[in-house]
Amino acid sequence: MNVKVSVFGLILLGAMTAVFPCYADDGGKGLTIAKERKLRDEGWKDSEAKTTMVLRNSQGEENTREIRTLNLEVANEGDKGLTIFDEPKDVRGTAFLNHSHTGKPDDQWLYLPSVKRVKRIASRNKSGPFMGSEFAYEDLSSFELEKFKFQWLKDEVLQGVNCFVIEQVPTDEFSGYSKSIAWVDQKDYKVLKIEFYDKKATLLKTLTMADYQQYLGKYWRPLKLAMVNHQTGKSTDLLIRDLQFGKGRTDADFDTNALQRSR
Amino acid sequence: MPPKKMKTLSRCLLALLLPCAFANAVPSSQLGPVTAQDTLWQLAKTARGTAPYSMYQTIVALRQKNPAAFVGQNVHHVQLGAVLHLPSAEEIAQIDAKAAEAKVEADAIYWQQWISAGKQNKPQAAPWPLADATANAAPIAANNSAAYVTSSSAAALPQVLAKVDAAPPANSTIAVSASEPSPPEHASAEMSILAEPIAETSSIDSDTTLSGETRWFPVKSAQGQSQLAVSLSVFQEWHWQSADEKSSWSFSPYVRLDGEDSERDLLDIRQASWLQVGDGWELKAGVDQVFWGVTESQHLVDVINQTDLADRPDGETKLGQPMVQLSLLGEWGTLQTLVLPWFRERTMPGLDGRLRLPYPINRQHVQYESSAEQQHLDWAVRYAKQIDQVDLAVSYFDGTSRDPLWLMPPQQNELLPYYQQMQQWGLEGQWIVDSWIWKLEAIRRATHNVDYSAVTTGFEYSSIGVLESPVDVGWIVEYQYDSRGMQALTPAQRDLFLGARIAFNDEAGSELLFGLGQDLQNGSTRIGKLEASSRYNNSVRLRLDAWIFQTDNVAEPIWWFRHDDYVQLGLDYYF
Repeated sequence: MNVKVSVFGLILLGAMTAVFPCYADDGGKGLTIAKERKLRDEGWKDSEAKTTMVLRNSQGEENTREIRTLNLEVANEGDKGLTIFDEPKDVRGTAFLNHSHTGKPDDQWLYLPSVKRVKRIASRNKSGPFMGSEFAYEDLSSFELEKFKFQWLKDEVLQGVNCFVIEQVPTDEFSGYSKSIAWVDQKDYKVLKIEFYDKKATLLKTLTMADYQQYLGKYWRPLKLAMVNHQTGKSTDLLIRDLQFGKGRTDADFDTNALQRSR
Repeated sequence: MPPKKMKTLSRCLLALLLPCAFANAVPSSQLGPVTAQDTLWQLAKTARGTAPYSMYQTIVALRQKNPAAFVGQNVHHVQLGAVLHLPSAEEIAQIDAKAAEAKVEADAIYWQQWISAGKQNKPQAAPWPLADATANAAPIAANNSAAYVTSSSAAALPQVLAKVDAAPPANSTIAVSASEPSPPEHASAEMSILAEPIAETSSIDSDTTLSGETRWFPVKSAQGQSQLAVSLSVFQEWHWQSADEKSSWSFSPYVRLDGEDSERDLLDIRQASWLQVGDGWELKAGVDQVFWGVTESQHLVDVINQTDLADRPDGETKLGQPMVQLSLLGEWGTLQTLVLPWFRERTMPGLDGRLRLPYPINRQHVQYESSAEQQHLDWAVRYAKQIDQVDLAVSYFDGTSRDPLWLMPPQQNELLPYYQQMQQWGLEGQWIVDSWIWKLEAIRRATHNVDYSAVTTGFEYSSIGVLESPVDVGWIVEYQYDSRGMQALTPAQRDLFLGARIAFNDEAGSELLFGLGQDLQNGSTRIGKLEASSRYNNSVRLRLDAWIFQTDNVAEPIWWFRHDDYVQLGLDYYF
C-alpha cells in the first residue's frame, strides 16, 4: 500500500519536474549551506529537556502531553534519543528509544511498563504521527546530510532576518513528504521555518521555530516549535524547557537495558 | 560515617540551606566577599545561573577567572574574603565538561588528603588543562582510600565533605564554623561542596492506578455462577532513584477484590526490588517481573513469573517473583543470570467464578515434585544479542514449572494442582525487514514424564497511514505448534493466530486489538478476543474487552469455557 503510494508520488513528482523545469542547478550551493548548518551543530555531545506538547484541533480545543527527552550525539551517524512519556497518565512510564541511522532504517524500541516488555518496532516508515500530534516521527529525527538532496532556491528576508531558502528532497522513499523547504538564517544557520509538501506536492504543514537560545556558547536551539497542518487545520506546539547539555551521558544510557530502567 | 550515609545527609542539609542562599543572592558580575558560610556549590550555582552548563564546568571556569582567590590552584580552597569575578557564558562553555569533572574530583582528593595530613603547606591540585582527563584522575584515585576509588561519576562529588576533620555536619550550618582558628596566612574558607549532584536530586515518585471492571456473560453457566461480575483493583507504585541514577528502589503492591469469586481476590507484591547499575552490570534483588519473548499470540519462552490467570484468560498478567538477578552488559551482548528462591502458585478462578475447570481446586493440598516444595531454588540464564536487524536470545531454566498439572484423587471430586520440575531451553529470534518483523519463539521442555517442543512463529507487518488516514495498522500472523498435539494442556497445538492492532492516532489515543486463534485440526475450535480502549481525559481511560471460546470437541482444553464468552467494561483512573 505504502509502496504503491510512494511510487505513485515519485512518478507524479517526475512528471511535474518534466513539465516545469523549474530550478537551474545551484552549483552545489544548497549542499554547501546544509553542510555548514550541520558543521555548526557538531560537538554538543548530549542534551536533555522537558517538553510540553500542545495539540490543537481545528476547533481550537487543546490537549497536552508531557514528555522528557534525552539525546546523544553520534559522530558520522544518526543520533540516539530516549523519550519518556509522563502525560497523559495512561501512558506514563512508556518510553521510546531511537537509534537513527543514515542510509538504513532507524532502530526503534518501545518499553511497555505494564508488562515490563521491551518491544522492537519496525521503523521503515516514519511518516506516522508522534503521540497523535502533527509531528511525524521523521520530523523529530536528527538532521543528517544523507537524508536529503539539497537545492538553494533563493535568498529571502523572513521576519527581518536574511535567510537562505533551501529545498530538501528526502532520499528515503518511505518519507511522507515529496519535499520540504527550509528558511535558514544566514548568520547563525538557525532554521526558522520549514514547509512540508505531501506526496502529491501539495503544501501539508508549516513548522516555525522560535525562542532560539544559544547553549555552550555555540549551539542554537529553538524552545518553541509550532507545526500547523494546513489540510486538517490542526496544530501542535512543542514547548521545550530545562534544556541542559553536558551531562556526560554515553551509549550505555541509550541501550535497551537503559530503556527498561527509564523512569 | 560511611560515604553513603554522608551523601544522604548532605542532601537533606542542602535542601534546608539552599533556599536561604538564594534569597540573598544578588545577580552581578561579582560574588563575595567570600564568607565562612559560603559553599563552593552555592558560589558556582550563583555563577552559573540558569545557563545549561555542568557545575563542574562552572567551578573550573570560576577558578580560571580568579586564580588568586584559590589557594594552591585547588578548586576547593577559596580564600576567605575573596571577591570572585564571574566567568562569562563563553568562558564556561570553553571548559571541557569531562575534564572539568575529573579536575574537581581529583582536587577534592588532594584537598582531603591535605586536611587529613593536618593542613601542612598548601593543598595540592590536579593540573589544568588536563592532558587526558581520565588518565590523570585514575592514578590519583587509586592512591586514595577505598571511599574514593570509584569516584568517576557525578555521585562522587557530594561524598567529598568539606569538614571531614571537624564536627560532623549535623549542625545548622554545613560551612566552616567561624570560631575555627585559622592562621592568618591561610585565611581560607574550606569550601563545602556538600551538595547538589549534577543530575537531578533524588525523589520518590508515587503513581496510583484505580481500576473497576464489569464482566457480563451472556450465556448461563451450567454450574449456576452469576452472569455479572464486578471487580475493583488498586495498583500503587512507589519508585525512588538516586540522583546519580545508579541506584533505585521500587515497591508496587496490587490489590484486587471480586464481587463474586473470592479466588479472584488478591493481594500481590508486583514489585519490591532494589536495583544497582554499574559500568557494564546491573544487580537487582527483591520481587520483580521479567519478560522474555518476541511473539504476540502466546509467550512460550517467558517462564520467570507465575501467571495471574484469575485476572484474565490470556495470561498476560503476572505475579511478582522473588529473585536475585545479575546482568552483564557489553558490546558482546547481554547475559542475564537469575536465582529464584521462592515459587508462586498460579491463581485460578474459583467455584463462584466463570472460566473455571469443572471441579473445585483444592489449594490446601498443592503437590510438588520437589520435596523442597515452594522453597526449591530455581535458576535461569539468558543470553541476548542484537546483530544489526536481527535479535537473538537463548535461555535456560531449571526449576519448578509455572504450569500446573491437575491430579484427581480417587473418589474425590476435586483437583489438586501439581507442580513438576522442569528444564527448558528457549530460543527467541526476530528479523526486521522494512515494515516486517519476522518472529520465532521455540522451547524444548523436559519433565520426568514428557519431553516436548513448542514453537510460535510468524510476522508482524506495520502499515502506517492506512488509506491516507492517520490510522496505523499492525497485522499479526502467527503459527502455534506443540509436539504433544492433543495431549497438550494449552489450546495452541496446531493453531493459526490472526490479529490486527489498530492505532487511530487521535487525541484520545484510541486503540483496537482484534485476535483470532483458529485450530487447524478441528475447524470448530477457536478463541477470539477484542480489546478496545480510548482516553476519556488526562487521568481516565476506558476499556472494552470481549472474548469468545468455541469448540465442539470435549478433548479441547477450552471445552470447559465454551459457555463463558464475555464482554467486559473497564475504567482506569490514574493519579
